[in-house]
Amino acid sequence: MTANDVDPFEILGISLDASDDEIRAAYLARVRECPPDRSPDQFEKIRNAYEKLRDPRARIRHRLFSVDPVAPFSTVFAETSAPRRFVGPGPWLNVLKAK
Amino acid sequence: LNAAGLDPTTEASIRELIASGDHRAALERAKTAHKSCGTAASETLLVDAYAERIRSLLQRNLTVEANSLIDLVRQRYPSARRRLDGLIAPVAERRTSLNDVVRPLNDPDLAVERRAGIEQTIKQEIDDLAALARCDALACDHPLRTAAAALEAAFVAVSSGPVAKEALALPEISHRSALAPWKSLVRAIGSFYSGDEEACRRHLAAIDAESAPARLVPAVQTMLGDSVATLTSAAAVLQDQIIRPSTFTSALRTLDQAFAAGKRGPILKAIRAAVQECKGSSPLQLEALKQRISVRCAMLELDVPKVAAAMRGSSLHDATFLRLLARGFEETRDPEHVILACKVWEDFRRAAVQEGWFAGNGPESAALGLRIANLAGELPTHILDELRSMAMARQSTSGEMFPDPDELYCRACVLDPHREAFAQWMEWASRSHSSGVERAASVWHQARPRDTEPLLRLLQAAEARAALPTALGFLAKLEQIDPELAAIRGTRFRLLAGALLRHIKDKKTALAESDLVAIGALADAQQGDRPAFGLAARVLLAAVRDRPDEAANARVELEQLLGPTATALLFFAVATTSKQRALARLPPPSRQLEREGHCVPEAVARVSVLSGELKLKFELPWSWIREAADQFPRACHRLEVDALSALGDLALASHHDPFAYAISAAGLERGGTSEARFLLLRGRSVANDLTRFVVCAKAATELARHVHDIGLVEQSVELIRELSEFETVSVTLAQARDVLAREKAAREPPSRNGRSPDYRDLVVLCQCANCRRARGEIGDPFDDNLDTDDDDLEDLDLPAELPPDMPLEVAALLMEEVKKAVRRGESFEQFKARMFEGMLPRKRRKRRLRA
Repeated sequence: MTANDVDPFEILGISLDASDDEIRAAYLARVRECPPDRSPDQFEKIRNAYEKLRDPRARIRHRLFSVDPVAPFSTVFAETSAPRRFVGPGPWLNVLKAK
Repeated sequence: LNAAGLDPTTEASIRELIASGDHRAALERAKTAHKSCGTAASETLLVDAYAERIRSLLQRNLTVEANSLIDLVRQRYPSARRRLDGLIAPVAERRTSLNDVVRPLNDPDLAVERRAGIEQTIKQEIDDLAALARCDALACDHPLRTAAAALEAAFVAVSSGPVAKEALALPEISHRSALAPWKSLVRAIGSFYSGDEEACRRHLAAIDAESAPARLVPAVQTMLGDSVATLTSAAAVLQDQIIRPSTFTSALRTLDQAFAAGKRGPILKAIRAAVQECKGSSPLQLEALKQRISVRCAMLELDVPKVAAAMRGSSLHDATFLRLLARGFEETRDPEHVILACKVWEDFRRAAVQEGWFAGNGPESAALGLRIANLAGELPTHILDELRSMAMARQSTSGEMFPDPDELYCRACVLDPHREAFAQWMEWASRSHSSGVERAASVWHQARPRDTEPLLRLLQAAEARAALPTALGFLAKLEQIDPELAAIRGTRFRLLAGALLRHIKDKKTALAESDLVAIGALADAQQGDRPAFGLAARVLLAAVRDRPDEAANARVELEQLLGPTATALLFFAVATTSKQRALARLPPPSRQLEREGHCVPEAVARVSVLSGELKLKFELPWSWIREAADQFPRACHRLEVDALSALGDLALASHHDPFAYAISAAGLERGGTSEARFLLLRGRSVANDLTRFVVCAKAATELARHVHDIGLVEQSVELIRELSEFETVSVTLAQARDVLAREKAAREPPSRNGRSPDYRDLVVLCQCANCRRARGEIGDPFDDNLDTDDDDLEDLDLPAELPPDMPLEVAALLMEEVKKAVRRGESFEQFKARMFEGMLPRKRRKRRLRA
């Protein structure tokens, strides 16, 4: 998995040890949330994630080999090291008003 | 578009209406005209009518209506957008207050279309929810005001501090509301701050791209790390305010930059800083950070103690670390690192089993075994051999075993016997020319007895070593699994034919007789020229038994079937295969020709096809090849495509390139799906011209792929596999067709003064002297003129002319060897020694040398 790939387990919102049935149920639930006519891009991601995980052997391969050893440190450790600050509505509205 | 076009009279009348100021009528008529014509001209006229109507609305201060109409036209006729932009400016200028926009919504009888227009304006323009919530033009309890107020409160809340998910339910705003995009935005911001990034992405995706809140989407996507779009200055300010990098993040960025630069000093310095910051701000991540640093340093082969010192201690070498390290070694593609990766994956397996990640004999271990086998299988053969011998030397002392791909594949396949794993093993075994193909097939067959692939391989292997009963056993199994399998069509006949000829060779005449009976009883025994084979074998068997009358009778029967020339050739092939050539002297072709006229190419082709099918040894004397080549122009039109193809293979095997070239020209002329086959033959017939050979082979591959001729694809790929200098050359289907056309046009074989197709537009190669020499383009003194007084030739002290009785083919072979000698820098004495010493009995050699 490269730095730009999104983890298929994360996309489907399932744990690493999810069963076949759980994966299928999660896929159907996510497709209901993002049907292809309303969110084609999101649907594509969900579909790709499901394709990667539906075959048990592919799932094992993904679990074992998808770590990216050269992912940027700032990306791997970004989530907890860069807290998101609340700035109030002003800066958000400025973006909306600056057309 | 409708071809009927716009009636000039209709257009003139509409333009008159526009000019007279009756814009509504003009618009209606323009709509009707465009509906019936649907041409670019009618669309232009309609847009003109819309533009005038918008202008008239603006003149009457009907801003909202004008605005709605502009949006409608922009949406329906995207090509007119630029033109309408000119109208938007006045609209913006004339746009009055928010009150003016929303006031008509108070009218209970407001037309549906107009209401939709106003709501569209709200959706696109409202960037101040507070103003809408306090808008005087609407009643206090108007749904739009209450919705705006709720959204305003939620927006302030989510951007100012943590908010419970329930607080963002906002049931008063339906998904059809003009403010629905705002609801999605508020929820997206809430999810962004709560860390639920997937939900955030979902809400962002739900925002209408034409709405005002959509202007915030790129900024949020960038903060999520999903986009690298250039942000507006306001969005950049927002990003910096929200995600102000911590000192730890800054240290990590510096570390990334240092690794990207690859310089040891800055890397070690950045490691020290990042580890220090991590200890202070995120101590729980320290071990993970150190593990990743260790792996990156191992990939760059940095000094381990120095790295450990920079990190203030080594990283933990657990399963997580080993997996990351193995992946790191894989990434570098360096053969030494690949070897290390194999070892580290095995270490990972043990550590993971010990740490309880998975069981030692489960599918995970099988997947790992396959991974290691694939990695080891990628190593060049000479490295594998070297490693194997080193491991064997060490084994006696350390007990360490080299991870042999064969063993690794076997282990993985036994742990999880699935087709994909076995196919990978078999593919590796075939590629490495290992004797392991049969073993792989055997293990595969034991594990999955219903799979046909291993049985086919086992059958091939048994046939190759002439273990015919074994081969027949595998064939029986295959026939039982799938009697219609294309790969076994004709196999039983071929195997029995092989057994028959072997029994004749071993003088086991009774067995040969029963083979003949078995062959005759086969359902496909009468197909094509197969009856002729039976008769030829009967002639041979009778001759071996010394029954001349029986042999003569069978021969007459055979000649009636094939004609005398093909009979002689087939008998020659059959006798050669069963090592009875003394019984089948092939007369010189000229004597045959006196009796039969011009039929040598047909006879040769016919016997070639049968020999190919039955794997007979058909090694024709050169005189016959030359005769077939001489007669070919007069006979080629009578040959079928398969016969041409078999003749082409024979010409190549006999090194008669001009003959192969002529056959390829005849084959290409036939067209159809066999063109790829003859294009490959063309390439092989000009193999001295490497560029042309490669282009023809690559074009043939592409054409064969297009007609699903997998066998030909594999053959042509295999032919050029070793030519690494042409690896980058690629040919598209269109280019392949162009190559085909050029080769069809080049009917004459390459000659010194003739012009060959020029493929410099397809092949861009390095033009340095070394690369050109490697491709055989320069450096060969014999290429340009064989008769020149070249210095190298003089040095070799060659005879002035060839002996008059030397056969041309011997002279050609001798010339080839002389060329090699020049390339090697051999003296004439060395050349003579290489050519003749050890090849002839001592006495004869002496006589020959004296002569």
